[in-house]
Formats: sequence, structure tokens, C-alpha cells
Amino acid sequence: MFGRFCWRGIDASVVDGVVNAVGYITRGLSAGLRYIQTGMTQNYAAGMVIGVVILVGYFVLG
Amino acid sequence: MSEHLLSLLTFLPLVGMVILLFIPRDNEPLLKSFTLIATLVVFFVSLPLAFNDAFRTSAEMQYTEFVPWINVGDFFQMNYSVGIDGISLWLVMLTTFIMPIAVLSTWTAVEKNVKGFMALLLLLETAMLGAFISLDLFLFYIFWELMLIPMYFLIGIWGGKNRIYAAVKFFIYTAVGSLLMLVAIIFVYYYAIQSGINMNGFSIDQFYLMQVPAGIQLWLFLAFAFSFAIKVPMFPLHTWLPDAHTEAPTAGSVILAAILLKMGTYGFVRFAIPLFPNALQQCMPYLATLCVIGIIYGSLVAMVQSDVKKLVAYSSVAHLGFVMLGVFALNLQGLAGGMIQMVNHGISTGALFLIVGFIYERRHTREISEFGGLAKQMPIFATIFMIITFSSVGLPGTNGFVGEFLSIMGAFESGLRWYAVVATLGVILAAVYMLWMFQRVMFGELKNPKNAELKDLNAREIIIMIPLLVFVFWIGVYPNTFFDKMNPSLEKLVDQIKGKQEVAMVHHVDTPDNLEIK
Repeated sequence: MFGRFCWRGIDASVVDGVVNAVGYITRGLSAGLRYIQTGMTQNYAAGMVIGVVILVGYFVLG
Repeated sequence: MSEHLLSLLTFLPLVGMVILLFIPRDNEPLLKSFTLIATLVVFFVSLPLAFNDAFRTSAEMQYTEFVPWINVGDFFQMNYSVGIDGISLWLVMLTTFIMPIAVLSTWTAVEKNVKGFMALLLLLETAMLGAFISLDLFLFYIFWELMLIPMYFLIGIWGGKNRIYAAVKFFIYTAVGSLLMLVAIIFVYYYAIQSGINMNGFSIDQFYLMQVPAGIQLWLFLAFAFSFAIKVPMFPLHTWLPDAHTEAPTAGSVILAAILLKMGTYGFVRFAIPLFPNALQQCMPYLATLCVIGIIYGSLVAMVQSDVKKLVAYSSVAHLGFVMLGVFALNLQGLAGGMIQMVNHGISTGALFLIVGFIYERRHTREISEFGGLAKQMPIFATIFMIITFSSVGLPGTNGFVGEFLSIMGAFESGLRWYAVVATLGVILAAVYMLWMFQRVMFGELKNPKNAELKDLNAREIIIMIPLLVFVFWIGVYPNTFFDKMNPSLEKLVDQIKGKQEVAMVHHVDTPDNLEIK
């Protein structure tokens, strides 16, 4: 029946697929990003230095 | 007394909630009776609104209250500004009317943490009433967001098997929409200030007078419409609804269907359409198409459901499509049809969720295939179920007919003629899925031995259904009681929209699309 196609094919796959994909992408991203949170001050400081270098480089050279 | 009636009404449930917190948690009968009495008191306090004849003649806001609230210099100001007119009147009444019924339906259904459940119901009532009476856009937003929290917990704690998924989905879906609306609210406020209007808080009356250039209007309208369309829900933003409805406890489903969905349609009527009528006109073909898709698609998907509750949930998508089609007609018939259909949907679909709750409590399943032949076993239940089914299908003499007929007629007389013609298919499909479901559950032989011992409705359950049945026939036979008090406000709304569209045509050259904000 066409109704079943609408339900399984469109509601569950396409619309919910997009909705759930947004959720999975967010979770996937944070699963990767959490490794940055090491808790070690040296790492954070290194991150800041790299950031400063990039910003200064952009404004001075670019 | 009467000048504070709305505040009294809105915050009584909150006061009730605070008192409830002092009742010992193991005294469940007291907790339940207290909540029932609190919601009944709120209902009786709201009755003078329904009997007030001023709504028959005046389109103005009644029972207004105005108190400056948050004030940050000239920069940001918001007020506690409330009032009620013919548009919000019946939605407020619907809210106070449905709450005692919802509480009564939990009598045996809710066993876990009764205190928390009742406290959340009362908090939810305050939030819903507050949203309907707000005349300040920011105040509306506060109540709008406040509604999310109790419903999130009602689904997430007392729901069915898949409740966490459903609750999170409901929350994120709605929150995404509301955040866009928040951005639009802030934008339109600063736009008003910058264009030299002396804003008195976020007063919607002053926003109504604004002429926003078409280019900006479109984006603002889309932000508002997106938020409301999720709540309605309009296709394709509806997939939170079947999950939330199916997983929520009976009382939660009833409130969700009867009142929370009306927030979306009410939002269109009160805010999105009168604030940005030209943008609406621009988007009209798309929105009307989505309405019609919602009607047909919702019906088709409802038809193939094997779970009664899911079927009712999808039927909501179709019914709300009719409401929106009527509203988008922007004429008196369509708006009146849409408004009355909002109330109808609250009554019939609320009743359907109660009915599903009754059989779920008895059999702990909602699969249609598990039932069959219940009519002989439960004659009273069968009669009530039949009437509500007819009301949902829109049989003449019941409330559904009046709403659907006027919505379609309004759309037919406006520019949406062909959409109305296609939408009529939905009326037929509604008969198909509702009657087919009724037939499979109630008629035929009673084959499943588990159904042979089912008891008919008890006194409490009959008492729950009677008020709903009364209004099914009242609105079906004499809807003028309701239209009389709605019409002046709706006429004013129609004039307002037309006026704004004409002004926009005249000044089209003066307000270039790329007008930027300084």
C-alpha cells in the first residue's frame, strides 16, 4: 500500500533519517573532539600559542 | 477582581503545585484528589470568561493587565502584559476544561512517583495558559519555553519503552524552532527601535502597526513559521509527534494533542500572520501545499498503522492540516473554521487518546490485531468510542463536521481553491482509516480469549468522557455559541491583514527590499 511506503519509506527513512543523522553527526564530532580535552595544561597552552601564531600571522602577513 | 482574573487563572496551578509539594509523597489518593480539585478550581475561575458577553461585540482585548517587569535602561524593556480576545478565549477555556479530565485519567494509570507527575501537570497548565494570554512577545516566549520542560519529563519519566528517544526528540525539535523564533523576536524588536518606533516592551499591538520591508519580513516570517510549524506539526516537521504521542502516558498524550499542538496554530494566527502578512502571501503556495500534503500523507500513514495510538497520532497530522488550510484562507469562514477545528481536535483527539488509554490499561497492548469483537463485551465503551470516531471523521451533527466544512469552504473561497479541492480527499481518507480501525477493534467475533474477560467502563471513566461528548454535540449542532464570541476578533484580524497588504502595495516603491538596518 502507498501508505506503508509513505510511513517506512518517507517518514522513517528520509525525515527521521535526517533528524537522527543530525544527532549522530553531533555525537560523532564530540566523540572526536573530546580527545582534545586532555586535562593537561601544557596541551591547552600549546593550543593557545598555535592559535595566537595563526591569528597574528593572518593579520600581519595576510 | 475581574481585572486580575487572568493572572489569578494562570498562576493558580502554580500555587497549587507549591502546596502539592508539601503533601507526603506516599499519600497518593490525596495527591491525586488535590490536583483534581486544583484543576477544577481553575476551570471554575475561568468560567466567567466564557460567559462574558463583551466578546460578542468587542474585538478588543479584555481583562488586560499591564505591569512593567524587566527594565534595562531604554535599551531593553519587557512587560507583564496579558489579555484575552475572541481568538484566545476558547483556547484558554479548552485548556482549563481538558486539565481536570487529564488528571482524572491518571487515577489508576500512573503508579510511579505520583507526586512528581501531578506537580508537572500543574506547572504545565500555568505555562499553557500563560502562552495563550500573553500580549508581550517576550512574555509569550517565556511561557512557550516553559511548556517544554514539564512535557519533556512527563514523556521521559512516565512514558513507554522508547520514552527517552521520544522525549529528547520532542525537546530538540521544538527547541530548535523556538530558538529561531527568539532570534526573530529580538531582531524585530531592535528593528522597531531603530526605525524610530517608541516601543513599549515587546507589545504585540505595536508590532502590528509596523511596516517591515518585504525582504526582511520574509526572513522573520520564516523563523516564526518554522517554529510554529514544528509545533503544529506541519509536514515534513511532524516526525516528533508520532514518537512523543505514542510514548507519552495517557494524560500527557491528551494534553499534547489537545493543547500543545494548538500553540503552533495559535502562534500563526496571533503572531506570524498579522505581523508579516506580506511574507505569508509570498510563501502561501508552499505553505498551502504542505498543508495538503500533511492532510493526505497523514491519513495514508495513519491507515497502515498497527498500533491504535500511533494511528491517532498520525490522524492529528491530517487534522491539523485542515486547521492550517482554513487559517491560511485568511477570510472569516476559513479562520473561524480553523479556530473551531482547533477546539474540535482538542476534544475529539483528546477523547481518542483517553479511549486508547482505557483499553491499554486493561490489556497492556495497543496492537489492533490483538483486539476484535469488543463491542459485545463492552457496550458502553463501544457507544462512546463510536461517537468519538464519528466526531473525528467529521460526520454532520458532530463538531468535526463544522470545523472541516468551514475550513474547506474558507479555502475554497480564497485563492486556495484547488488546494481545498484536493484536501477534500482527506475527509474521505479519514473515514477510511478511522472506521476501518473501529471495525477491526470493535466488531467481528471475539476471537482472542484475553478479551473475553474485559470489563466495561467504570463510573470514573464514564464521567471523564461525558463532558467531551457534550461538546462533541454542542459544537456540532449549535456552534454559534462559540462563533459569536470569536467573530469580532476574527473580523478585526481579517481587516488588519488586508489593510497591511494594501499599504504594502501602495508603498512598494518606497520600501526597497534591500533596506538595511543602520
